[in-house]
Amino acid sequence: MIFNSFIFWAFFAIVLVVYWRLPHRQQNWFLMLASYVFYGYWDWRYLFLLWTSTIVDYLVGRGLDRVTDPKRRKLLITVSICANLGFLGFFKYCGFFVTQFADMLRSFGLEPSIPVLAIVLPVGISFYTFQTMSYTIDVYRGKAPAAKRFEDFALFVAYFPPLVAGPIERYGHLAPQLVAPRSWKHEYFGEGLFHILFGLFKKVIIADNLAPIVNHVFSTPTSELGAFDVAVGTVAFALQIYGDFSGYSSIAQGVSKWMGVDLTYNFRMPYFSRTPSEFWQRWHISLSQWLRDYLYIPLGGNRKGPARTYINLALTMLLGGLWHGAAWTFVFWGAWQGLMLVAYRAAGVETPSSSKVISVFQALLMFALVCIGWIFFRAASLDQALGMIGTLFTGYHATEFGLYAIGMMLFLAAPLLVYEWFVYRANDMLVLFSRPAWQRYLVYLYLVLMIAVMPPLAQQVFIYFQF
Amino acid sequence: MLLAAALFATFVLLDLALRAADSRLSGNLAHIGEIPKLIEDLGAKGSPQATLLLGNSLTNNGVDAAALAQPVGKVTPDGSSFWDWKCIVEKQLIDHPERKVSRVVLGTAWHLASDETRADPSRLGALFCSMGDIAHPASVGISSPGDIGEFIVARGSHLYALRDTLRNRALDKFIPHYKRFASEQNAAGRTDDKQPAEGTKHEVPYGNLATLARSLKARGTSLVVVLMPVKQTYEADPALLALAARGDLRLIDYRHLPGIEPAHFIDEMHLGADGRQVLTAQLARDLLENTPR
Repeated sequence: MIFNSFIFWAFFAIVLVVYWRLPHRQQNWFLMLASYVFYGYWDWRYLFLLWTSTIVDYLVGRGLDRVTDPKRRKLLITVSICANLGFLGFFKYCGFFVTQFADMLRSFGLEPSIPVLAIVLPVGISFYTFQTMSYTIDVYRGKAPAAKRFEDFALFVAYFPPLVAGPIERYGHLAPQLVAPRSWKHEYFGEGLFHILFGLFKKVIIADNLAPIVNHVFSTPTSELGAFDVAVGTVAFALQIYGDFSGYSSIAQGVSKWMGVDLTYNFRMPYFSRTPSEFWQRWHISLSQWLRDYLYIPLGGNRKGPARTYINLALTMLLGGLWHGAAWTFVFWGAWQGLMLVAYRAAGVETPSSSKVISVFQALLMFALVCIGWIFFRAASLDQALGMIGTLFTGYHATEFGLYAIGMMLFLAAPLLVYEWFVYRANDMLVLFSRPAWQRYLVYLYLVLMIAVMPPLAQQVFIYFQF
Repeated sequence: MLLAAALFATFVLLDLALRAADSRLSGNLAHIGEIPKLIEDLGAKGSPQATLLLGNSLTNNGVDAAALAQPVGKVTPDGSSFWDWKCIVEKQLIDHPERKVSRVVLGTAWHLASDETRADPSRLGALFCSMGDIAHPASVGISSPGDIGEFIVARGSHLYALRDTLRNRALDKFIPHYKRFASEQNAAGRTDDKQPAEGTKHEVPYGNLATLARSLKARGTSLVVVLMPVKQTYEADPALLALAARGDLRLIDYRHLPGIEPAHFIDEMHLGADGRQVLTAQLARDLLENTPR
């Protein structure tokens, strides 16, 4: 069930009507059931994986609550991490590493006969395993209380709005809201509606309409592409992936708001960032915070001198890249992000300038660097990515396709960027709600009409479902 | 809540305005708008030779209705296929026994008249079917909950149902080279719909076409299916041939019509004026063979 499908909205309408008619405890049981239906709609067999992860981490949490012996506590947290990373490793990386191992043997002149398992990646596994792992680690560190009731924890894991593509919620933020009684408030409607319309606009209008342009550029042999088309295709992908992923997050926020539960913001105008560290405070925030808290800081963070800080940054981003998928292109994308963080820090320019003119220049440079990273992210192979990056430094000649693509990007995405500029200036994600009613009316009307009239010919699934 | 009500009211007003003026959006929509009147007029003539010529742009380009020398109603909406034609025949002909039409000539190609043809829920919901049809979605070629949802929304909102037309008109104004690249994308998407491919013997079911033929027969209307020529020819489906052999319908095969040459096509599938002349002349002769007198 995807958010941009009729079946989801029919499902959600039923959930919403029943949900608000139930008393609190029954609300949670019902939400849990609805979440399993939502997830099982793809493939019910993967529910067993979700349940196993839930049961293991619930028991580990209970164990950590009772046990004081450091060795036994360490053993418990190891069980949780091994179970979650084991699932992730098997379903996501097994095929990749087996293939790499076979290739390595072949490079030594051997002819290995290694069986290759065709493993289907369960939707959302990267998100919910990280979410449950953050719970057990927080309980282990004493930063979060262990869940007392199994059903509360099971709902925390399976709660459907962020289940398959985030945000990766922390137990300390989500669980208290689920445990507390909830009652309908009128302001939920307006805020939820805004998030849903804004999310659908970003996903259906921007991301899905730009998808054919991106697909055309990235499926054309690099030798047949000029610098202009590569640049245009790359910017189109930057807008597509932002619209796709932040669109999902916004819809999840809106859907959750209508059930009285706040989700964290996963994106805050990332393309206005001026430095790599600012970018990661604005892009996929829940993942970057996860990596910071559970990887970068435990590695030593910036506490062990510059050289070690650089290594920690690079390693964190490398693993962040691998989290996105089992392919060298993602590893290189992570490495590129790490390299940018290290370079900016080493050059002492990681703090954005206070000058407006320099800030604009910094933001444009940062966007260009991020776009180079997106080529690794989207390309089918390293060869293709490097070829496309090389083409960027050749002659620029306008093409009819490039002009068409720029026209589409301006028509579809420019209004979004203008709106985000106002949000950025106000530093208020809900700045629209402080504007006069007629302005809100016009924004909503624009969103509704665009969603009704401008969807693309073919429905596209969310890009981040594969991660 | 007030804002939501104002939005809803605006949307409804815009939708009503579009319903009133949708025939001005494109020639195809204007043609679709005139279908009920066209069939009503044809049926009212009561001629024993009254023929409803049904199909899509293949038939529109391939047959000159005026040259057929008998009362002909030409209903050929662009991009339409079996489920659209089925709804048109049911709603405009079978549901109106008073409309006397002796023959329905259906121009088709590939598997467009089969049960496996993909239905367009928006077009069916807004333009050709009625809300009651969704009670039996399979009867209009719809199976998934998503398609049912699309049908219902399109039935309720012309803004949504006609989104492709509106979108194309708007973007064509603002985006350089839009028409060219949108056509390329459409063509790429359409290739998936066209099968069986040349040389294959893939058999697809024609249960709904057979039922339609029987329903027409029961009201005294015969069904003639014409396999239209395209530049790169295709295999006739054995199941369709079997249907014709059983006498459920009459099949006229123009896939390799003598006199039609590759130069007669204006693109990969549509006939130009010369090709139309050849095909129409042959169709007139073939229809004359068993015309009721």
